[in-house]
Formats: sequence, structure tokens, C-alpha cells
Amino acid sequence: MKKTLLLFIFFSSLITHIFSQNTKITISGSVKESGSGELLPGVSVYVQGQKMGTQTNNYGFYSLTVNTNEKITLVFSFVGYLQNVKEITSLKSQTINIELPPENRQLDEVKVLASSPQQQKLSETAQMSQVSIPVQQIKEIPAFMGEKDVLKVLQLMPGVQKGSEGNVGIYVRGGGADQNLLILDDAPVYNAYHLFGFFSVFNGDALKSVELTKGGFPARYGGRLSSVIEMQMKDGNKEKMQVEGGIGLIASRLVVQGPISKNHRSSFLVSGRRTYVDIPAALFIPTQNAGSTYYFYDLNAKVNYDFNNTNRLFLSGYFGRDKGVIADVQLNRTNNAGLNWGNATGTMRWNHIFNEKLFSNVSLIHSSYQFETSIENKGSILTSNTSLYNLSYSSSIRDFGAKVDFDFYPNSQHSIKFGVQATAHRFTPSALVVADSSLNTIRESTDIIDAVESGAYMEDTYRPFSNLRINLGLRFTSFTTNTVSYQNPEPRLSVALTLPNNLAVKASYAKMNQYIHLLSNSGVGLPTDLWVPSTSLVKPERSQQVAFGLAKDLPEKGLTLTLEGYYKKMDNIIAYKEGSTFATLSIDGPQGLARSQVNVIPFEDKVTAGQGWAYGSEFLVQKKAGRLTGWVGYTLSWIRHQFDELNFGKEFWAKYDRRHDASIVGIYQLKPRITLSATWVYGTGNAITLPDATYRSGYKIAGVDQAGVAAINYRGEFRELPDYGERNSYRAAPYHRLDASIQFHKKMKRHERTWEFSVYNLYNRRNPYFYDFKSTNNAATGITTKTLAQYSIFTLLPAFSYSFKF
Amino acid sequence: MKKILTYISFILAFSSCKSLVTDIDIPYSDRLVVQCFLSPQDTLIEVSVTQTAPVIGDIVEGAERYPNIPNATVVLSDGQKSVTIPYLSKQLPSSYDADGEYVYTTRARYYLSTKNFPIITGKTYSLRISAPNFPSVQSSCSIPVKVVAEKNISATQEILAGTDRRGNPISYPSIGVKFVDIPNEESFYSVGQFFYQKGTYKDASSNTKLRINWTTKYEYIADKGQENQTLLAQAFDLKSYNNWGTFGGTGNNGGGGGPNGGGQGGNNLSVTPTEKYVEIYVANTDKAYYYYNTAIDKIRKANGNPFAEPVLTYSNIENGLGVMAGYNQSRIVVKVP
Repeated sequence: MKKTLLLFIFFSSLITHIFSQNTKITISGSVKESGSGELLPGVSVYVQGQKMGTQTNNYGFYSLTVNTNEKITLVFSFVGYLQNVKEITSLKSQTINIELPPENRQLDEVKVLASSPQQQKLSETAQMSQVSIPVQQIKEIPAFMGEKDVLKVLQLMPGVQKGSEGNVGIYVRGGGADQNLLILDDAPVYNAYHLFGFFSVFNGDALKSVELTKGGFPARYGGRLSSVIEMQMKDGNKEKMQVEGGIGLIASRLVVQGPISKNHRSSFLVSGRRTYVDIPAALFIPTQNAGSTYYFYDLNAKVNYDFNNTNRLFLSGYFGRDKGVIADVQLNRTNNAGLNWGNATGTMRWNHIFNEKLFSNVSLIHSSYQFETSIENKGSILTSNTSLYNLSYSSSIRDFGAKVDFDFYPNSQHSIKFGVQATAHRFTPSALVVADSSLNTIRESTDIIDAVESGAYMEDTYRPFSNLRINLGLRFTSFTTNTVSYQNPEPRLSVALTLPNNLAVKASYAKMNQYIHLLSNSGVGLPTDLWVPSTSLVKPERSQQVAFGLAKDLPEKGLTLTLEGYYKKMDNIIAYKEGSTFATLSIDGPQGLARSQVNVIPFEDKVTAGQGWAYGSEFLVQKKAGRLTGWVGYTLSWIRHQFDELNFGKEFWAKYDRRHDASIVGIYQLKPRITLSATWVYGTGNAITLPDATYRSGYKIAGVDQAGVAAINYRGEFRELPDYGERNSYRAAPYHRLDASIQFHKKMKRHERTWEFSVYNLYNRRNPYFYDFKSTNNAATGITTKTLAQYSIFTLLPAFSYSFKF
Repeated sequence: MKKILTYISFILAFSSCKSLVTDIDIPYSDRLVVQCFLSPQDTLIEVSVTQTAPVIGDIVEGAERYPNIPNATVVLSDGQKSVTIPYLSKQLPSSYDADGEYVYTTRARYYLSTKNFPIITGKTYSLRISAPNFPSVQSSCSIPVKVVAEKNISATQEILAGTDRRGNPISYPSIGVKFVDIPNEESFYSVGQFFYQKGTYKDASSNTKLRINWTTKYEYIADKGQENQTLLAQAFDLKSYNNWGTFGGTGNNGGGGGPNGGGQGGNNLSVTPTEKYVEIYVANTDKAYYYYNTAIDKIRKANGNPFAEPVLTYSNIENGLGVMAGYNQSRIVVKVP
């Protein structure tokens, strides 16, 4: 690390020296939203009439060095905001802080329209394979049960697929749902699922920006193979108190934000969401099951404080839980089975501006995910049965991390980012405590595993000519436990060449390593999914991706077009071995699960490693401004896997191999008070393994059997066996669905409100959720009739919600 | 009001689950299922020809779903000569009775004595089968040339302590088989172990009779990742079958050979052990033998668990299902104290 730093200092002083001969001025500062003081990341800052510009970083900071002898005009622009133009007359380096007023699309009053980071012109960035969705759009797109969900909106983007119906799991460019790095204010979130994957843990009300990177990863990102989803929480309104909330079918939410001190130097934000299906449901629960319940909630909180113009502190946290109880009250016994899981994250960040060219951020990060299940079985005092049995089983992952990042803008040609990161992971795969009135307390657990994952990176966005941008970076990663240690360099490169007519040609290469693996026996995001570290047997997963693309802006129409092709090779990806079995909560109950997790064969014996290839092309036309906004996305892709121990070593289609994937999203401002929106999605069916025949066979044992006849020692040949053909050779029916919603906005005396009516699956398509064999036996004839049933879970589903803000 | 209506529709949507089920058809056509294992050590070639059955439709459970196909034309060829294998019913010993006598069962398959058609190492054999109403199938296999030399097979014995089925403390031997990998080639092995306990007892008429108890252990091993090393089979614990000294008397001779040989009740007859030994076979097999049998073995072990990952059936029978495989085996015998 020291070497990297020294190298950097040498490099940067050299650059500074070379260019110090020229006359130049540096303009730096921060860009905020007017009315709230919210820092705006991704704002485009450029010199009018010159092909020179930059973007604000995640903390709204920018620095631009210009060679000039005359006055210049700086333009600050960002989608969803009115442009701000600043004339610089005195030719000296200076700090210029800017406020951008939000553009009002619906109502007259100033509306908080914090948007996600995006460049005014896509053809002028080196970055490719990146999508950002304005948070406002997330709020306008029709949602399942009316619950707006960030991850479900990302699923509508090309290159991003959903897994099963209604599930928030995302699959990026042939990667698994476990290969996405989800970061909320610098803290990784390990299990992004509420209610068994139907909702994500991210509350859109508290978010400022959402950005998904699918390829061409800059060196500052690492740790997962397929994508980085970076979410930033709002800082909190510095100017005035603001309350926003909503009442939906299944959940309600509330956000309160405002200044803490009168000098507008600090602000806070608190946001909460809770489901309440449990409250009406309680009325219908039989007395015998009184106390059974299920709910989830989220809490987001953030405070920030500006010490002065160069020091700023942020504290933010997330806490969410899902809780379920099944109670069974009998005359002489009470049984309670509990289930709860959730994430907690906390981040402390300190921004420091050293000078107009050097910005730094230090983050201290905590993240944890815990799953617990318990059974309590106690006798009733009435029957003087005082026996007591308690079982509690838990698994968890916990991180403590620190991260230091620098943004250095030595001159107009270079923009350098470098930094280090270290995370101490603690994996507690399973811990079991059993207490019994007749026994002593029993504690059993698998070994806790501690691991340190670290990374150091440096990347430079270099602009040798005004139409060529190169982002060259190197990340060095390492992962160490007490049994293994892995180190890997990860080179990264992105190149963009801007051609006339707002057209750009881009290419990128990225190598990624993933040191932690998710054991998921369902693939639908159950809380029992378990993160485990790399071991000597289960090696780190690795990917290499190349991508080529075209980006074209049509500024007069407000459209951006991207066409990208990618090829990704993945190594050491894991899958369960054929025939491997595992306990599940639904079948074996908490006891069975606990026993199997504690006593089992190590997970390494159940999984097998293989390789995968994902390639395809993605087309996206996006409209972010105007009365009609939205996008059309289409992906043509192939995903093949090869595992020595699966499918007899032959290649096969991955489960989520999806030849065609399309989505159309439209949001139309019919009248200032009425917003219409609709989405239509289509995806090729999943590749699944189904038996098409049964047969009978024994197995051959070497040698001569007990009767001394060698030729006939087949054993157990009366067993009926299924023949699946090749792995994943059956295609489920294609998935398609139309959702629509209408929003009515109204400004009242003191607040504004929105009614929303939405319909999920408008034309009532029965999409496949899973397949299973059903059999009915006719006792009279002895005939069993077997059928293969395709189960769907959601047909047409209306929802409504009410939102307010004052 | 609207809220209530929406709630109702929400509940309706969830309660109308029946309408969410759609029956799906799976394309199916009958195929021949073939098993044929060839070895130079065998005296009899056996080819089993049965058929597949559909997974959906009206099903009468039982073995009749998978009948032996008696009217198939089964032609085995070694490249020079071809022979049609006849469908025969044979009385073949399938086990011992309690008196150590063979129990014969009738078994109908395609049989050919190797006297008429010797199986020779290194040769490639092909099989063509046709039967009315089925697509014709074919396959081929080569007999592995190399064999694990007897001197390269060893068995170590260990005496372990434990409890028997009734919870009484016992000590029992455990056999660990080791053998040297055939060097410099991708190898697959099948290890079979047969533990025999023999003894005599006096029946009700005071005649001396032989009693044989036996059990087996089998394993399939690939040398991948441990090429040219000494390969180790899983330990064979001779535990449960150690305490067989007494068994149910005549009139209640529950079952002869199986591990639960002793019947319940009756007069317990005392057996005088005469010998205990383990026959160990190590077969060098082709890939098809290994893949096919490991798959069947995995399906058997995951039996009944609906959450088990699906296990695919390996097949090298063109247009059909099943296996034709070759193996070449060696045998050692180890005395057990």
C-alpha cells in the first residue's frame, strides 16, 4: 500500500510539474439543491464553448482546471434541475459553490427532485455499462402492491434480469443474484430481501441516488463479479423541516428531515417503513394461534454537519427486520416458532477538502446480517406441566470496515481517484442453543471464521485529446483467513472516443474477484441463504469482462441511445452438486435446519465449482426529460455453464439464460396533476431441469456376488428412477406482464398529496413461478393420474396508495 | 371504502390459488433402456432390455411399468464377428438360505456364455438392439487394458469399539482398502467388498449345517485430483453383523443371507464360527461405468428428498437410455480375525 501511495505522489507531482508552466486557473466547489441544501452528485460542469468539463463526485464536489486568458462561462446542469450558468471574470483560482433549483414537472411549488448521478451527455463520459435511474422515476413507475422498489426498477434495465415472479433478486449479465455488490452509503448490504424476496430492504423515500454498474468497472469498485449497485441516502434538508409519507396496501412510510441548527450547517433525516398486514390479519387468526404474526420494518437515519467549507461529517445508518411468529396454544402446551432476520448498517464519513484539487473521504463502516429461528415449547401452569424446551438457531455475517478515498484533479487532462479499503468479516455460519427443563443448556456451533478483505486502487481518467477519454485503473485485492490467503491484481480499462454528432464509441475491460460466496438452496432470496468465505477448496470466484458500445445523444429530443455488446468469462463459480440435499426450514422446521446446519457435512462437500460464459448485446433508448419519460430496453443474451461434476462435464444453459429480455417503461405527464405510467416486460422462460421419463435400473458392484455369479450382480433394480435428460434442458413458458398506474397530484393549503391506483399484471397473464408434479390416486382402479403443473402466484392485482408531503 | 374494496380484491387474488395452476404437457416417446457390463473375468454376458415410462398420465405403479422386452434383436459384435444374443430364462442363485444353500430365482434376460464369445481386454465391442415399436439403439465400449495388480491392493484392519444394535459394547474390525492408481491415465474404479462369515450349527435333528452371513460395500472412485497416488476407499465397518453367533431356530429361518439374518423367536441356535473373510474387488472401469453407477447411486441416496438437486442419468445408449460399459478387475481375499 505504501508503495502505491509513494508511486502516486511521485506520479502526481510529476504531472503537476509538467503542467505548471502553463497559465491556468482552478475552479472548485460544491453543487447543492436549492431549497434543501442537498449535495448533488453527478452534476455536469463544463466550460461553455469548449469541450472541457467534469462531474461532481458523490459528495457534490467538483474541481476544474482551465487554461485561459479570457473570461469563461461555466454551465452546471443536471437532469431534473434548471441549468445554472456562471461567468468567471477574474482569472484566478477560486471556489464557486452553486445551487441548482429543481425543475417542476407537476406542481408549482418547489419540489425536491433529487436525481441520481447522470451526465448530461452520455457520449462524453469514459464510463460505459452504467445505468442510473432518477429516484423520482422510481416513484412514478407502477409497482407490485404499490410498494416502490429500487431493485425492481433496476430489473427493467437491459442486461439486468429478474429471477422469479415478484422477486427482487437481480441477475446482471449472466451473473448470479449473489454477485451484486449492494452498497448503501458505503456499507455493503448482505441480504436485500424482505418477505422472502418480494420486497427489497431499500426504502426509496430515503434515497438520493441509485447507480448500477454492469461492466467496465472503475478500479474503486471490487468484491463482486457482476455488478455494483451504489445507493446514497439523502442528507436531510438543511433549509426547512419537511415531512413526507405514504399509506399503501401493505405498508406505510414516513420521512422527516430538516435542519438541526439555525446556521444551516447541519441536518437530519429519519425514515421508517412498516408493513401492517399483521394488524387486520390478527382479527382472523384463530384463538389457538393467537400471537402468530408477520411484519417487516426499515429505519434509515442520517445526520450531517458542515464544520466549515472544507470539513463535513456524515453519520448514517440502516436497520431493518423481518419478524414472523407462529403460535400454537394447546390446553397443556404452548408452542411458538419464531423467525426473524435483518440487516444493520452504519457509516461515518468525513469529507475533507485539502485544496481546490484534492478531495478526500474517510469512511468507517459497519454492516451485519443476522438470521434467527427459535422454538419455544412450554407447559401450561393450568395442567401443572412445567416442562420447558427452547431452541434457538442463528447464523450471521458481520463486517467492520474502513475506507479512505482521494479525488485528485491535477489538471484538465487528469482526474485521479485512489484509496484503500479494509474489511474485517466475521462469519458465524450456525450457532445453536438448546435449553430444556430436564437437560442442561446445550450449545453447539460451527466454527466462527474471521477474514480480512482488503483492496487498494488507483484510477485515472485521462483525456489526452478533447475527444478521447481513458479510464485506466488497477485494484489490488486480498483476502485472508487463518487457513488461506489470496491476493489478486485486477486491471481495469475503459476507453471512449467521441465522434461528431454526439456519438461515442466505447470499450472496456475489467477483472473482478469475489471472495465470499452465497449458499442458497432456493435461489429466491430466503433468509436462510448463507454467506461463506473462500476456503482452500472453494476458491474465489473470478470474472473477466470485455464490452464494446456505442452511445448517442439526441439532445434536442432528450434521448440517449446506447448499444453495448459484452463477453464475460467467469471462473470458480459455485453450484450445488447433483443429489446434494439440505435441510429446509419449511420441511424440517427450525430443529431440523439447526441440526443439519450444525452437524452437517461441511458446505465444501456440497458445492462444486465450474466456469461460465455470458455474452450478448443490450439496447437502450432512454428519455429522462419532458412530458413523456421512460425507456425501451432489449437484451439478447446467452449464458452457458460448464462444471466437471454437473451434466457429466458437458456445457449447459444456466437457469437464467434468457435469449430475449425486453422492457418498455413509459411515464406520461397527462396534465400537471395527472401522471400515467405503464411498464411491459418480456423474458424468455428459465432453463430448468424436469424429468421426461422414468425407468428402472440397478447399479453394478465390482466383483462376484454372494452366489458366485459375476454376470448378474445388478443391485436394487426395482427402483423407479427419473430421467431428466440434460441439465436445464426444459424451457419454462416465457414471462410477460403489463403494469399500469395513474397518479393524481394535488396541492392543498399546507401540503401536497398524491393518490395512486395501480394494477399489476393487467392482462392477467399466468406466468410460471414453479413446476411440480401432482398426482391423484383412484383407490377403486388403482390408477394414479400424474400431471405436471405450472404454478403461478400473481394474477391481476390492483393496489392503491396515498402519499403526502408538507 | 375504496380501501376496503382493494383489500377484498387483494384477498381474492391470494385465495384464488387454484386458478393459478396450469397443467403442462411434456413430450414423451417410449425408449429402450439397456444395461450391459462386459468384463474378461465374467463367465456370462447379460444384457438387460427394458423400457422407459412417461412421468405424466395414468399410471399403475409397480414393476409392470418397466417390462423386460423379450422380442428384441440383440446383436453384440467385436468388430470381426457378430452374435445375436438370445432371450433366456435362467435359474440363477440369488442368495443363500439359512442352511448355506443357494436360493435360485428365475431371471429372464439376454444371456450369452463367454465361452462362445470371449471378452478380451483392449477390444471394442458394439451392441445393436432393435425391438418392435421402439427406435433402434446402439452403443459400444472398450475393455480397459490395464488392471490394478493384486500386489498394488492392500487392506489394513483396525479394531474399533462401539455398541451393537442393542446398545451392548462390542469391538469390531474395520477394513480400509488402498490401491495404487494406474499411472498416467485418467482412471475410474469400482471397488466392491464382500464380507463373509461362515459357521456351523446343529439343527433340530442334530445334523451339522453351514451358515453363511454376508454383507457388501461398494464405491466408485475417480482418480481426478489424485493421479498416480494411492487411492483410499471408505472404511468398511464390519460392525452390525459381528454378533451373529445365535439365530432363530428352524421353522423361523427369517432370511438367510441378509444382514438381518436372525429371525425372531424360536429356539436360538448357536453357531460355531468357522471363517470370516473379506473379498475385495478393484475394477478398472471405463468412464461410462463410473458415470452411470455414480448417478444411480446418488439418486438412491437422495431418495425421497424433494429438495435434493436433480441427478441426471448418464447414458451412452444412442436413441435410448442406459449404459454399455467395460471393466477389468482384480481380487484379493483378506482374513478377518
